[in-house]
Amino acid sequence: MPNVPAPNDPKSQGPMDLSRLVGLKLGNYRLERIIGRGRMGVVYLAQDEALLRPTAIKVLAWASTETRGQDPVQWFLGEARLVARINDPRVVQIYGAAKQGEYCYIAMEYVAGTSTEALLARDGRLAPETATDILVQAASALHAAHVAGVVHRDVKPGNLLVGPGGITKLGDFGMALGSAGVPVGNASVRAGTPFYTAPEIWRGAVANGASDIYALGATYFHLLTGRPPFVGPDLAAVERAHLSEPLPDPRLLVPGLPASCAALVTRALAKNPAERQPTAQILMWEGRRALQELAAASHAVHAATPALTPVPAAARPPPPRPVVPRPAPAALAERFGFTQAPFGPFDPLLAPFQAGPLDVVRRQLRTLLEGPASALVALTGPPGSGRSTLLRQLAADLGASGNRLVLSADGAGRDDGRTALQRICRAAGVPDEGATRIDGLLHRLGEERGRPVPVLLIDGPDEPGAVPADLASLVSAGLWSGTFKLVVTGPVGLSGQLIPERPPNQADRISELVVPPLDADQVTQYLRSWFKATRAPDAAAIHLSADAMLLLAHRSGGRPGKVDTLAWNMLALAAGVGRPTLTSWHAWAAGAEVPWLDAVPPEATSLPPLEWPTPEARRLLDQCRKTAGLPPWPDGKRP
Amino acid sequence: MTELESVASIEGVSAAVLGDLEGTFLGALRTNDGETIAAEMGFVGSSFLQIGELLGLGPLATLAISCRAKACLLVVRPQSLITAVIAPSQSLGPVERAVHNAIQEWT
Repeated sequence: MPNVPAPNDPKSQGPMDLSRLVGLKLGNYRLERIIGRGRMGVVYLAQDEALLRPTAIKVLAWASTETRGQDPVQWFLGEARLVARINDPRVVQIYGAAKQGEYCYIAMEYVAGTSTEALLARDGRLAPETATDILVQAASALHAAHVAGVVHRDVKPGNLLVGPGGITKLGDFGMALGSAGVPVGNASVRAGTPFYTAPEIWRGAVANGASDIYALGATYFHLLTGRPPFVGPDLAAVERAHLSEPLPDPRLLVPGLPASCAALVTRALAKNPAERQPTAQILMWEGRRALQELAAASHAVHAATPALTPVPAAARPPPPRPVVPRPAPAALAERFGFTQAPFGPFDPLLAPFQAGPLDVVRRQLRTLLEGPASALVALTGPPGSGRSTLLRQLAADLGASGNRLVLSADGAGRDDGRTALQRICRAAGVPDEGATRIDGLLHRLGEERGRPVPVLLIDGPDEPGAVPADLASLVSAGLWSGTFKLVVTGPVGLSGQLIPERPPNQADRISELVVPPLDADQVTQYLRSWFKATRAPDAAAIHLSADAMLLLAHRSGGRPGKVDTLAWNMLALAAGVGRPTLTSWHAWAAGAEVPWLDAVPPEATSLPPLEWPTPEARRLLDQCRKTAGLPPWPDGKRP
Repeated sequence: MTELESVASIEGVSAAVLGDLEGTFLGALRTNDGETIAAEMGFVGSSFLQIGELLGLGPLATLAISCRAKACLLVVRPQSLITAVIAPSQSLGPVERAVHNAIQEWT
C-alpha cells in the first residue's frame, strides 16, 4: 500500500511537507520519489500509468505563492501555458497542469540526467568544450522562449538539465514572464537568483531577453570557472558587484581558458544591455563559433594524430545528384554525331567547365572558400552567366573528397515553393518547419566539428529584389556562428542585399565574386568543349566561323546560358542543310529565347539570303569586328 | 589586280577566298559563301600545319584536296590563307601550277 498522506489542508504546508507525497496518484501519475525542490514546489519522479513513461511532477508549494498574493492555480496554469507556447526540444516540455483535491501540479518531461548545478558540485568546473556546448543548447532554448514571447527570469545552473548524450534542456519556467497577456508570475517582483541577476534588474527594471542573456552568461561563467562572476559576503555585496564592479577576468581564474570563451562570456555579461549579444540566437551562434575554434585548436594540438575517419556514407546526406544527360535529338545525332544533347544541365564533373573559360572563376571561388575567415561568398552575375553551373561544379568538387559535408539547395523556390532553408534542413535531415529550424540545422552542422567546415550551396534569386527572410537568417547564422560556410548565387550586388550593413569585424568574411561575361574566344572554347563532351569521338568536326562567334558573343552578352540557347538553335539551323559549319548567318537567325528542340520554326529558313549579310547584319558584324581588331566585312564580287 | 583576283581569274578556279588559319573571313570572289569556306579551310590548314610539324616536314606551304564534290587548293601565306575552289571536272595539276605562278608574282 503506498504511503498516501492524509488529506491535510495543503495551505498549511510548506515545501518540506510536500515530501510526503510518495505513492500518491495525481491523475495518471504515481509519484515515486523526489528529484528536486524549487522555490515554487517539489518535483517528483512519477510513472505515467497510462502511457507507461517516467514523468516529472511538480507539486505546488502553496505557501510560497500565497505569500506573494498569487492565485496558485493560476500561477501554475500560467507556467504550463507559457511553456506550451515554446514547443522547443531544448525546453523541458509540459504535458499538462491540473488540480486534484488540494494539490496543484504540473506534469513535465522527465530528463534522465543531472543539472549543471550538480555537475559543478561534482567537478568544480567544466571543460570549455562542455561548458560551451551547454551554453549553445541553453541559448537555443532561450531563443525559442523569447520568440514565443516568454522571458525565463531565472536562468541558472540548477535550471539547466543535462541528459544522456549531453542534451541540455532549460527547465523551471516558474518565474517566467509572458508577453501577450499571459497571466503568470508577478512582473514587479524581482525574480531570479542573485548570482545570475542582471544589473538592470537590480535597479528595478522589468526583466527581458537581455537580462536572460546576462543570466545565461553568468551561468556560463560559473560553468567555465567554477564560481559565479560576482560573489560577496551578503546580498548587498553581490548586488553592488553586479552593478558596478568590473567582471573578473575568467582567464585569470582559469589559466589557459580559450580566448573565444572569455570573449563570449565577457560580452554576455556587459553591464549595459545594449552591449550584450542582441539576441539569444546570436549568443548561440557565437557559442557555436567558439566551439568551432575550440575544435580547430584541439585539432592543431593533435595534429600528429592519424587522419580523421571519413564521414560514414550512411551518416551523410546524399551528395547533389548529377544532372542526367539528355539524349540528343535525332537531327543532331544523325547530322553531327551528337551522342547527348549539348548545353544546359550536365554532369558538372564532365561538363566543359572542367578546363573551360570559367575555370579561372572556379579557381577563384575555391580559393575564396578555402580562406579560413571566409563565411559568405556571393557568386553573382546575370541569369545565364554560368553562376549556377559553377555552383553545381563546386558541389561536385567539394563533395568528391567525401570528408566534408556539402548541402545544396535551390534558393529561388523554382520547383515546389520550398525555401532554401527548408531544402537545406531537409538535406541535413533536420525538421524543416518551425521557428527553431535554423538552430536544429546548426546543431546538426555542429556535429561536423573536427572535419572541414560544412559548406551550404544555395542557387539563389535570379533577379534583384527582396532577399527572403529565411535566407537572410541563414546568412546571419553562418556569419555569427562560423558553423558553416555559405555560397549563394544571385544577381550582381547580392552580398549587399544579404548583408546590408556589414559588421565591422565581419567585413573580411564576406566576398562577392562576379562571373565575367565570355568573350568571343571563350565562347568558341565553350562550344568546342561542349561538342567534345557530347559528340562521338569519331564524329566529323563542326566548324565555327570567327564572325559567328563574334556575333554569338554579342547577342548572348557573353552569358553561357544565353550562348546555350543561341548555339543550340544555330545547330538546328545547320542541321537543316546538313553542313557542319556555323556561320554569322546562323548566329544572326538563331532564336535567343527558347531552344528549338525538335524542329526549326517555319519563320527561320535554313538557308541564308543570297545577299548575306544584309545591311543591318553587316553593320552589326562590322561593329563586332572592329571591337575584335578585325577589318570590316570584306567586299567581294558575287558570282 | 589583287592577289585574290589573280587566283580567281585562273581558268578552272570557280571561287577564291582569303582567310587565315583562325578561320577568319577576309575576302572572297565569285562565291557568296566565303565565310563558310574560310572557316572550313582555316580548320583544314591549321590541322595540316600541325601534321606537317609532327612529321618534321616544316611549315605547311600548300595543300590540295580533291574530293568527288569539290577540290580545293590551299596556299599558306605568312598572314593569310588563300583557297582556290576548283570545279570537280577540272584536272587539278594545271590549275595548281597556275595558282602557284600567280601567287609567286606577288611574292
